[in-house]
Amino acid sequence: MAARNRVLQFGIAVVNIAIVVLAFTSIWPFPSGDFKIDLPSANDVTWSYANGIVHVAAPFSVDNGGWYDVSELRISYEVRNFSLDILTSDELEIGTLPAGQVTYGWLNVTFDLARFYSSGETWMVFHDDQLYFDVHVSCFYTMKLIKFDASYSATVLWTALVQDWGVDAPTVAGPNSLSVGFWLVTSNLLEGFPPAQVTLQLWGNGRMISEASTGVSLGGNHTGIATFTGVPASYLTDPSYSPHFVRLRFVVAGFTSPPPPSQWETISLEGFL
Amino acid sequence: MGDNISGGIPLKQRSRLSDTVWTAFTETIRFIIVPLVLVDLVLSNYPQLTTPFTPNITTLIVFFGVLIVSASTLEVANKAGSYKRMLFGLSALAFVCFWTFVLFGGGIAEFEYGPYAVSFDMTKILYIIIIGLSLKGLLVVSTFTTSRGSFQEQERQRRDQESRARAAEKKTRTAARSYSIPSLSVMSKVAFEVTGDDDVGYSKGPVPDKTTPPPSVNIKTCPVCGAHANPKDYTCKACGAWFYDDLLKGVRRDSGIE
Repeated sequence: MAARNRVLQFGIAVVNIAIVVLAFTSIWPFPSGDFKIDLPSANDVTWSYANGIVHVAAPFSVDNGGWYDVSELRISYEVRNFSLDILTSDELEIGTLPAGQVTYGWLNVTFDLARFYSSGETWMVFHDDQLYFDVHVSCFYTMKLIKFDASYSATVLWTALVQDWGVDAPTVAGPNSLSVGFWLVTSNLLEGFPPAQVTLQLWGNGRMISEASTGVSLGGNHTGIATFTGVPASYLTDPSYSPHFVRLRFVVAGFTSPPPPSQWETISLEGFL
Repeated sequence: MGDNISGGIPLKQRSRLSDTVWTAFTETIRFIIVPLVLVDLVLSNYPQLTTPFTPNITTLIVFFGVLIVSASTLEVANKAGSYKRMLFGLSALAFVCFWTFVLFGGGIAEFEYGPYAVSFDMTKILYIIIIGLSLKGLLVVSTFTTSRGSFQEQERQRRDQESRARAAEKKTRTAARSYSIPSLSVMSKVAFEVTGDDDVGYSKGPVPDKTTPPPSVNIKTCPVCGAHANPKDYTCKACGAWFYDDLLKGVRRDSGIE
């Protein structure tokens, strides 16, 4: 009978040792860093813009240095703006990552800025914003005995596509012509895009005197000069033309400023006179 | 959990008291003191680590630890093969399972560090560990079944011994009681034999070996028990025997025969 107990004791000990080994090899890779997920930081994010679509690419890597395969590896993300409106969300299914292997990839986040703009959410076109990236990684480990979840929140600064603009002091360009300099600061994402089309109207005493247009390059700080013709020589000096101002409107990469429903933006010239 | 005596292996004759004390001591260290120290170390170094039981982890460890120590101690305090030992052994095992479940936070651990939030769900692994621990219950039961026969034999022997002892004690008490029934024999200090009914009185027993000291002039000696008596007495105050010679002398004197 004592032999039976010894055999039982031995069997239980073997099973328990196996369980301890299983538990240890399942848990140890996580605190030891053998299992590692590198999620992108704000500095790793690269931006691009095309056809009204903003594309954010962020690298990630998953290093399965443990003893078991990682299964059902999923990376999901959600991007919100400062108002916590969801700009986009998606899930990336990686699947199984065998033991000892590393996988590299990119999180490709896109959101349709043109659609936002056309739906009246024009803020991000003309103003800086904060984008909150919530990245969530989930997977199973050790034959699905362990479920691992990791969340990461990153705040990425969004710089407006159209950042600043204005007009310079009007100068006399000829007997009946007046030139007004126009400068425009746009996001570097727009570099290489067709120039912005700027239309200006010269107004005096409540009526339009002349209209001119010019093109301004995009991507950074660029200027253009609009020359008004048929302008009375006394326009700048005759108080009867007060108030002196220009109205302008420009189109940058398909976005019109001022955004609808406004048609024109008014800039006073009184300070320049 | 009484590891030192589980398995049905006959032990050397050690004191059960010392086993019990030793078990209580070791189990206290294993299930209360060491876990508390480790938990304190972990929580002080990793305050971001939380489990569902973290807020009350110390209380829970002490609570279940005390239960484990008590059950294990009571297990060892009882003989192998007894129901009590098996009951306390299984109870201790159940408490160990609860204790393990609490210590590992129910298998769910969360760790927050800066923008990262990591969550582990090790519930299944924990259940496997608990199942592994529960296997020891088989050993407890096996120890019980293995030792049951010898335990019952020991119990039977003990009961027999007790019953024999009780019988002997009863016999002694009965003898003592019968010895204490009032009789003349207990009042006699010398050997005597009872004569037949027609010879009323006592015949003088065999003469003792020792030489009777010469009676004093003013003292007479009882022929039955040998006690000294006043010369005027007709009966012995010690044994109540009549002093026939003196009695006859007195009767003759009183009746004027002499």
